[in-house]
Amino acid sequence: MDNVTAVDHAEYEVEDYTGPAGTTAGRLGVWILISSEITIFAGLLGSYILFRLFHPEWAEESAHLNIVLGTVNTMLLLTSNFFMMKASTAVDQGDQKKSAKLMLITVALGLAFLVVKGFEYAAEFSHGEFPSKNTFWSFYFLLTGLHGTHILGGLVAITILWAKAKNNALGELKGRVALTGLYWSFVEVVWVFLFPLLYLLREGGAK
Amino acid sequence: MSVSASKSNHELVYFALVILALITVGASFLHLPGDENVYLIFGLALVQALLVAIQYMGLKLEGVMVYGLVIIPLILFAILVFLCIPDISHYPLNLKL
Repeated sequence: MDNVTAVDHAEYEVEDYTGPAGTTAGRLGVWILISSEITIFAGLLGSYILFRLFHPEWAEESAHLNIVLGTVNTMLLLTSNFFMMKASTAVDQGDQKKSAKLMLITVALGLAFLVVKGFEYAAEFSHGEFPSKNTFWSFYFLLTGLHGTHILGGLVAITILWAKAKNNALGELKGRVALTGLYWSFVEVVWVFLFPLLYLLREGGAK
Repeated sequence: MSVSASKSNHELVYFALVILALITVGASFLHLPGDENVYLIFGLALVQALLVAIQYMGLKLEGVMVYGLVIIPLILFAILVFLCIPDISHYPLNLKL
C-alpha cells in the first residue's frame, strides 16, 4: 500500500500537484517562504517606523541619500519585474527562447540595481556614513543590505533558469519560472516600502 | 492553478506602477500642512504594493490558505506595534518632512 502511494505522488511534478486548498504545492511553498519574509521585513520596518516617529532629526540624515539614484533603482526594479512576468508568460506559451531573452533582461536590470546601490554605498562611505555612525545609518544599511541580498538570491535563481531556457532545456523546471517570478515580485513589494521610508521622509525635499 | 487571467494586464500594471512611483517621488516635494505628505506617500506605496500582489503575484486567484499566509504575519506585526504603544504613548509624535 505504501509503495502504491509513493508511486502515485511521484507522478506529479511539484508545480503541478494541486492540494485540497486549490494552490499548487510549488506556489504554496513559495508563499510560505514569502510569509516568513513578511515577518522579517515587517518586524524591521516596524522597528524603523517606531524609531523614526521619535527621531525627527533623521530627516536630516535621510537628506544625505541620493533621491535620484533611489528613483532610478525603483524604475530598474519595476522594469525588471515586468520582464520577469513576461518571461513567465512566454514559458507558459511554450516559447523557451523568448523566455530566456526576457530573463536575461531581468538579470541585467537586477544587476544594474545592485551596481547603482554599490555606487550609493561608495558615496556614503566616502562621506563617513557607516552603519556605526548612528541608528539611522544602522537601519539604512541593514534594510538595504538585506534587500540587496534578496535581489542577489533572486538573480542566482533566474540565471539558473535562463541557462536552461536558452538551450530549450527547462523540461520539468518550466513551472519554476513562474515561482521565481512570484519571489521577484515580493522583492519589488519590499522596495516599494523601503524607498519612501528611507529616501522620501527627508529634510526639505530633494537635495 | 492558472494565473493567465492576471497575465493580460502586465503592460497596464507596469505603466500604472511607474506613474505611481513618480507621483510618490513628486509628493515628497510638496509642502502640505501637517503630516499629509507622509499619508499621501504611504497611501501611494500601499496602492503599488497591492497592484503587484494582486496582478503580478496572482493573489486574487489564490485560495484561503495563501491569504492566511499573508495576513498572519501582518497580524503579528500589528500585535508587535500594539504592544509598543504603552511604552511610546508618553512621547509626542513628529514626522517632520
